[in-house]
Order: sequence, then C-alpha cells, then structure tokens
Amino acid sequence: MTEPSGERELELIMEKATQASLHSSLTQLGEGYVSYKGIRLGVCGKISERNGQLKGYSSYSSICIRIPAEFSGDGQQILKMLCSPEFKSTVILSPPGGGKTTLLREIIRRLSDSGLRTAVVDERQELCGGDSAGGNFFELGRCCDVLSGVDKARGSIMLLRGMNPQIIAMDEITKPEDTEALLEAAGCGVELLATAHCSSASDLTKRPIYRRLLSEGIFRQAVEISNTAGKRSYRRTEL
Amino acid sequence: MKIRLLGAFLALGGSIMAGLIYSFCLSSRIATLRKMCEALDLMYIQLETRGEKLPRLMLFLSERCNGEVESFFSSLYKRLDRLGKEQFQYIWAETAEETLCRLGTDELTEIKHLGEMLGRTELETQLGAIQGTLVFLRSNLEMLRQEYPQKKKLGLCLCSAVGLLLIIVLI
Repeated sequence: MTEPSGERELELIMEKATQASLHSSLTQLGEGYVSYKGIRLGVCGKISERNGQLKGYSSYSSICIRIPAEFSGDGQQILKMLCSPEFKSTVILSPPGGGKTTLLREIIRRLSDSGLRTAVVDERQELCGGDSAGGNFFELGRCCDVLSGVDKARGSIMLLRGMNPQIIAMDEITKPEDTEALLEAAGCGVELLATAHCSSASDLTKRPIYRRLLSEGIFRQAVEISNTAGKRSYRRTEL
Repeated sequence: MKIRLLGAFLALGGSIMAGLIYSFCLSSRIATLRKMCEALDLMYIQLETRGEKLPRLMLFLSERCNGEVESFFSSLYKRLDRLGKEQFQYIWAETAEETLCRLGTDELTEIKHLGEMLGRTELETQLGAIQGTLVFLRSNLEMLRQEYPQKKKLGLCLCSAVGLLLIIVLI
C-alpha cells in the first residue's frame, strides 16, 4: 500500500481480518500480526494492556499486508531433488520475503500427495490459510494433517503423540522452544521440514539457534532460494 | 337512524379492536424482550466458554431463537459479509433498528450500544457489556410483566369507554 490510509480504513481492514472478533486473534496480535485466509497482516498502533496482557488496540497507525504468492517454479523437479533416493529432513533458507513459505507449502502438498503422512504445525495459519469457519484456504494434499493456532513446540509434540506422522513440517524456526521441539521430533524417527531466515547454508552456523540443530545433525539438506532479476532459483545443499 | 346505529356499533368495534391491538403489542414486546434476554444469555455462555468468532456466533444464535430475535440474528449473519466495507457496530445497529420493532426505544438503544463493544476488545470487557445489557433488559422485562395485567385492563376499558361514548353521542 503506497498511499497512507485513514484510521477508519485501517479499522475496517482489521475488522475484516479478525471477522469483527478481536478476542479470538489476541494471541496472534500479541506477536504483532493477524492471519486471514493465508494473508499475514502486521499491525502497528497504540496497544492497550491490562496487567501486562494485551487487551486490544486503541488505535491503528499502519498495517503491513503480506499476500501469499502462487508457487511459480517446477515443484515436481524440486521434490525429485529432495527425495533422491528418499526424503530427508530439510530446511528451506532465504532472507525475509524470499518465498520460503510458498515453497514450503508446495513441498508439503507434493509430499502429502505422494502418500507420505505429513503433519503440519501451522502456528500462524499461513500454510493452510485457515478461516473462521474452520476451513482451509490452501490445498495441502491428501495425506496432510494440519494443527493450527498452536505454538510449534507444543504442536509438534501433539502431532507426534496423536497422528503418527512420517514428516512434520513447520514455518520459521525462531525460538529456542522450536529447536527443542525439533530435537524431540527427530529423536522419534520423524523427518522434518522447516524454514529459516538465512541467506545461505553457511550462514546457518552464525546463529546459535540453528548451530545446535546442525551440530545434532537434525537437518540433512537445505534448499537455498535466491532471487535474481525477479526470478527465483532453488539450490539443494547437503548439510 | 339505522346508519347512526351502524356507525355507533362500528365505532364500538373499532375501539375494542384498538384495545386488543394495544394489549397484543404489550405481550409481543414482553415476549421479544424475554427471547432477547435468553439469546444474550446464550451469547454470553458461548463467548465465555468457546471464545467463538462473531459470525459463527450469530449463525448459532439464529438457529436457536425464533420470532423477531431469530430474524435479527439471521439478518445480522447475512449482513456480516459487508465487514471490511462497514463497521460491525453500524451493521448491528441497522439490523436491530429494522428487525426488533416490537421493543421499546430505550431497550433498542441499549441493544445498539452493545454492538459498540462486541468484537472490539478482549473477552472480559465484552462479557461485562453483555452482562450490563442483560441487567437493563431484565429489569425492563420484570417491570413490564408486573404492569402487563393492569395495562391490558386499562387499555381495554379505556377503548371500550371511548366506544360507548361514541355510541351515546351518535344515538
């Protein structure tokens, strides 16, 4: 959005995004965003709190809308690249806005359609694009179980216990708790698929949160997304 | 003379009919108010226990109410596709104005005010607002129930008296 929006317009956008139900989006808003049909809206404004708990926004000053893109590459080719001879735990790498979530969604769909039991912890409801009616906006394949609205650490344990997955997928590993969950899941013989804010595999070692995952041998391959003149390319690296 | 007699009896009939309509309006208002209180009770429980999103909540309530209250919640549910173009509170107020015609002005105003709180804050504040509206509506309901037999009798007597007066004047 290039032109500044009035506060009333921002309020209308937020009402649409939360389905006029701010109370059901407060957990997400506490993290600074709200999801609506796979679209992520980052929110700024004046927060009102009570006893350290987010009560709502008394006014909105700006909203950053991230509309999910359609995957434009050759998904089959990428899947072949990742599954030779069989799928191994994979981390997708790119700087913010590089197309990690789009690629992750495409890989999940193809893995699931190939018959592998794929479970997704969709903390931000961006992968499935869940709506208020409980429906999913994005197709994630026929063998996919989606657990949304729960943090990755708790969600992956729940999926391990209940859904007998072969692969657990999640978006954006950012917290130490996420790392713990990945370590636990990997210890149970499940393959993992996740994304990380990082421009290349060599950069992974620079961040402590990923260094531990590498040293434990959790991820065995990485897909690096690079963007040259608006065209995305995908490169596989052994870790 | 015959025409005068006919006119007089028609006036009497009309007056009695007016009395009956008055008492029917009173009882409809009481019934709508009672159903609205029940619906708000249900809304409170659903919000408190499930933190339901408002569109689903409106659908839920429309399936469990009847009469004017049912048409209020079902119209509201249909109109919620205008979210993003119009604010929830205006949709709520407009629907209340159009569908809850049998309620008194003060009750309608109270219900419209509730729309300004719903969906805009955390759950606790919304539940407080529903509770406040319920207290107001219930006290009105209680008052109307107590006054109903007297008002009904008064309405019928007054209308009949007017009718009889017309008969005397005309004959």
